Amino acid sequence: MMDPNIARIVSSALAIVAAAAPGFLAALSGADSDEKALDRAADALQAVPTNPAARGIERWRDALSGR
Amino acid sequence: MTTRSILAPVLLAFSLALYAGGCGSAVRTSAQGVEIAALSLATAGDAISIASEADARSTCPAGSALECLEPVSARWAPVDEAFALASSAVGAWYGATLLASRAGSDDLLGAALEFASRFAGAYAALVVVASRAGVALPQIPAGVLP
Repeated sequence: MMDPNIARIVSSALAIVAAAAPGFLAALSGADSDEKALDRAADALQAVPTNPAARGIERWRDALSGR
Repeated sequence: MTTRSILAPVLLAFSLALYAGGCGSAVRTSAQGVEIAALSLATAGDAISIASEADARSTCPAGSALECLEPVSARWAPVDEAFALASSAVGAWYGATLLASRAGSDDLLGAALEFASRFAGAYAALVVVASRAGVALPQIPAGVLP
């Protein structure tokens, strides 16, 4: 039995997603197995940068120093 | 602000809600939450990187000494620290989900929920710190957090 609060959260989030990104729900359903969902999660994690602010500054540092 | 960054709060909200109650197996739902949280964080990272470079350019125009960038780096260091905390939390969320999957026990997903909550808190802190640096990251809509 789903907690009523969770049901409220889910329905409100779904409404937001449906309004703003209707194609996204279809994309999510592409993970039709645990293994596939875990693979996709791992891929997404790989795309998370490290030290993004420092990297941005570093790009300009390289430009300033002529590298 | 790009379309991707506009979508980020929606994705983030959905990831948290999806994990809390979603559809399919608990492991799959949690993994989908990790995926969306990571996508949101990557988008935030892109925005931060672009903004910090723009700050560096305006503070230290072409011809400036490299030392000019030191205060810029200091200004942005807290943002990277907050980003690292959020990144660490979503990584731990994934780890707990993977562990639950391998153990074949949804009971272990309690740890995943804990890390999901930590991610939400860390992301909210990142939004605050980034705003001090002039970056308006999308926030988790009120009422969405479990």
